[in-house]
Amino acid sequence: MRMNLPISDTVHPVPEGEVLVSKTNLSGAITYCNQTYIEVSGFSREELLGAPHNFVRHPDMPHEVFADLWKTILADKPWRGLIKNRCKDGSYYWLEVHITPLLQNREAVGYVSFGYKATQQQVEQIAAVYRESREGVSKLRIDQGKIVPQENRLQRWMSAASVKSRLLALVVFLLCVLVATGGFNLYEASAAHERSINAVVEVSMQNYALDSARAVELALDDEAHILGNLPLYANDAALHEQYLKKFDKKSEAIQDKLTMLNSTLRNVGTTANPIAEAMNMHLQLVNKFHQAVNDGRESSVMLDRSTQAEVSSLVEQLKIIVAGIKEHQQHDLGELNALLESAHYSERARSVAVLAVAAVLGLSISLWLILGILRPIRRAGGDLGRTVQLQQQFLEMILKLDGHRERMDEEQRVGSFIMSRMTNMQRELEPAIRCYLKPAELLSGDILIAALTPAKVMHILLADAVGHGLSAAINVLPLCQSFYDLTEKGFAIEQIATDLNLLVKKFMPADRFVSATLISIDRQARVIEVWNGGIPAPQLFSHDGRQLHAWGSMHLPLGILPKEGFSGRTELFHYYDEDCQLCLFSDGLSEARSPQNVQFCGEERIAELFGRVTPEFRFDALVAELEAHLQGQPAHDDISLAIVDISAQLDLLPGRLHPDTQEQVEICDDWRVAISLGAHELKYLEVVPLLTQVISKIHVTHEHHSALFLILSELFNNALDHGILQLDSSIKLGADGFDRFLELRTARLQALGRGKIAIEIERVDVGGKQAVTIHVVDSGGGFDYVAMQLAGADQSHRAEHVLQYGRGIALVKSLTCKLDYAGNGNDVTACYICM
Amino acid sequence: MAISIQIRDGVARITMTGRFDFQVHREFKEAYVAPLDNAAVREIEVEMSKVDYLDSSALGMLMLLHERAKAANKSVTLLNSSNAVVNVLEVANFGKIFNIKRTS
Repeated sequence: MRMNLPISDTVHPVPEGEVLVSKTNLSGAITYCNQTYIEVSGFSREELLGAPHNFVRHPDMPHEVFADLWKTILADKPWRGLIKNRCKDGSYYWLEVHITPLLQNREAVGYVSFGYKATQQQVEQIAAVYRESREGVSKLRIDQGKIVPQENRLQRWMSAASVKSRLLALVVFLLCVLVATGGFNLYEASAAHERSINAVVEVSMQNYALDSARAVELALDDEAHILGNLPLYANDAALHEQYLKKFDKKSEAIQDKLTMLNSTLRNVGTTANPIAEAMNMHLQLVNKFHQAVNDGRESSVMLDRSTQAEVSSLVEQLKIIVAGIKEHQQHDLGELNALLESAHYSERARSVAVLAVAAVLGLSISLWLILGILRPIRRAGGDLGRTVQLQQQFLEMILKLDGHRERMDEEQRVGSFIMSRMTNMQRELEPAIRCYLKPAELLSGDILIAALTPAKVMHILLADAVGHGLSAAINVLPLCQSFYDLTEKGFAIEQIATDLNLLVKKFMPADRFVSATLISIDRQARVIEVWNGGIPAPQLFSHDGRQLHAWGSMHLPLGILPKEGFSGRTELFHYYDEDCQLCLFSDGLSEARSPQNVQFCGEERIAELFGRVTPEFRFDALVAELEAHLQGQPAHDDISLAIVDISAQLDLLPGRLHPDTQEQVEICDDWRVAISLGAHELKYLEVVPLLTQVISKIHVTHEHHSALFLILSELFNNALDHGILQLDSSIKLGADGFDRFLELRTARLQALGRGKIAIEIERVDVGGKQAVTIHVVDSGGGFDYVAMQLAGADQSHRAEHVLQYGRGIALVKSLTCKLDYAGNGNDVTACYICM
Repeated sequence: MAISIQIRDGVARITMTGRFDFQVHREFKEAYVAPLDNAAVREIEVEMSKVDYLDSSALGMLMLLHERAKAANKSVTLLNSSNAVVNVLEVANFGKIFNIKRTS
């Protein structure tokens, strides 16, 4: 048995009202333990998971307890007992432990254990028993966790006997009683019958003897009478003869009777001596008489008086004897009666005794049976108490869980609210971008936002954080603010990507990167620029459904590479004069699984659908197909989809918004900003955001800011591109023209040795109205501005004019009330009236 | 998801099978903790030929492993990725920071 040492005498407190929960697999290795378990045991989750269950066993525990535990749970029965466990630091704690098998399809797949703080009483009771067992003082008997008290075999059998066996015992007993009494009665009946027959015979014999004795008595009387009368008939010989004969007959009869009486008396067991004597005497009498008679024939003298007296006394003696016999018989009869009566009583008493014993035995067995029936109810009653307690505890747990869930729901709600506020699309973008967002849970880990730069370039960010729900949304939220900020300032998406990468890298843990794609749509230049790190390729489709371009993921997602390794390099595409649609989506769309577990396969489906459906219906058709695919099932991952309509037709250049004015520009001494940028600054400085900042500080209303920004950036870019870098607009034409232009621009800027651009912004008055002048001078070679102005005046060739000199200047012209060139074309002043 | 680990000649190979997603978070961590602490191990291979599904959480877990391995001066290789895995790794351009190898 495993010995976990060292141990100490310290008790580790177990929190009241909490449960220590652990799960093991079939071999007893721990597969799960809850927080309470971990805290009480003192071990870490890593130490506990996978460890055998006897890891926390205290050496004081007798091994019989665990043998019984395994025996019980292997039989798929619950076990409940007291266990002492050891903490990591050697201290101990007692638990009332309930272990149940975990069943799946009626087969055990593991075991779950619930441990409650053991009460002081329980501990005191059990600790002693365990110790005695360990020390060998007594053998521990334990069954399903309960200690079985010491009893002998019979007691144990009796208390443990099932209801069935008790019932059987009762039935057997009743049968035995039945058989015994039946048998007994049968035996008694025949014996009694015999006895009564005997009694009847004896009584009748006694009576017969009595009657015989009486008869002899009477006969003797007759005999005596005859003898007495004999002398009377001495003269009459014939009559004398007659009487002699009578006497002979009588005396024979008496002799016979005496013989019979003798034998009868012998049969009833009375001594026959008096009779034998009587018989002899009678014979003597008869012989004497015959002698006398014979002697008398010779003489007519009859019996003499002495013979007569002899005869008479003989008769008297006989009579006494017979009377004695009579008395004796009567006495015997009386005795016999008494005997019979006493036998009858004792028989009754015996029956009553037997009945009483049988009744007592029967009643006790019945009682034993009833106890057996009631036993499960009693035990259930005891278990019922614990069951109620358990249910109470589980109810409390459920309530706790509900509380957690409510809090979580509240957090999600708040998070959702914040998210929706932050990711709200600017209203002016809405018709152009159509979005479909379907989070997997309440909060999405995807964001899809768009904003316009001051130059009215559309920036779109689609970001997909690892996972979904609250933890993912938290990662992605800070990106919104940054994106809006930088876009508003006019930063290019390369810079935005770099900044977002740093943001994620700095603030999120290593496993929480953000896949993202940044898109820039410049409708003026008809260029779409994309940075894609980990998102499925955004696709550009023509009106007739051809795929014009797809921007595959070229970069690692945000938050992985450090500043040095990160590249914000974008991929460009020039869409020329085609009206087109840009379709972008997160991987939740392509992975969307139908209930039959089929993936949606975004790219192919979209390409097919775009080929089939006309542009205005494509969005709705795609959404419909997606929802049909999901069949109402929730999405596994957050789904985000957007289709951007890109019209090649620009907003009509406003006709002169602000007609040229001849009014005098008056300096008003309000404020003036002047910046001068040399070659060095021009190379590294993000000039556009700088300019934005400058503009934003001007105290004019917001609506004028964008106009001012447009004017300033256009004049500046012209000064840099055409003036200093000497790039020709015509390079932009043709396939890859834009790419070449940008490459050339980058190269020349890098190589720039000398150059200078001076910017001056001043608050002025024009005809009493508030206005701003912007004056840009570059150190370049200038251009033929006269020719341009002449060409611009010619309305019929406006289109060519625009193409040649750039839309930008045309726009500036339409916004300003004055646009004057000076020098060799490297000096330009614009005046904007804030109306 | 069944994860098995084999250590041989200083290379710990963690073989993943089935779905590699958020559910295996703990198991995966337990699997690489020991090889990271083991001084004899120089390289940790994550073998994924039997992985049929890989999502962004799995990529996150690989990122964590990558970071920890770097701190422990060990290298990480993604070995024999199944098609499902290859697609995801490609879109995320993980080849730029992980060694991706095929042995068969």
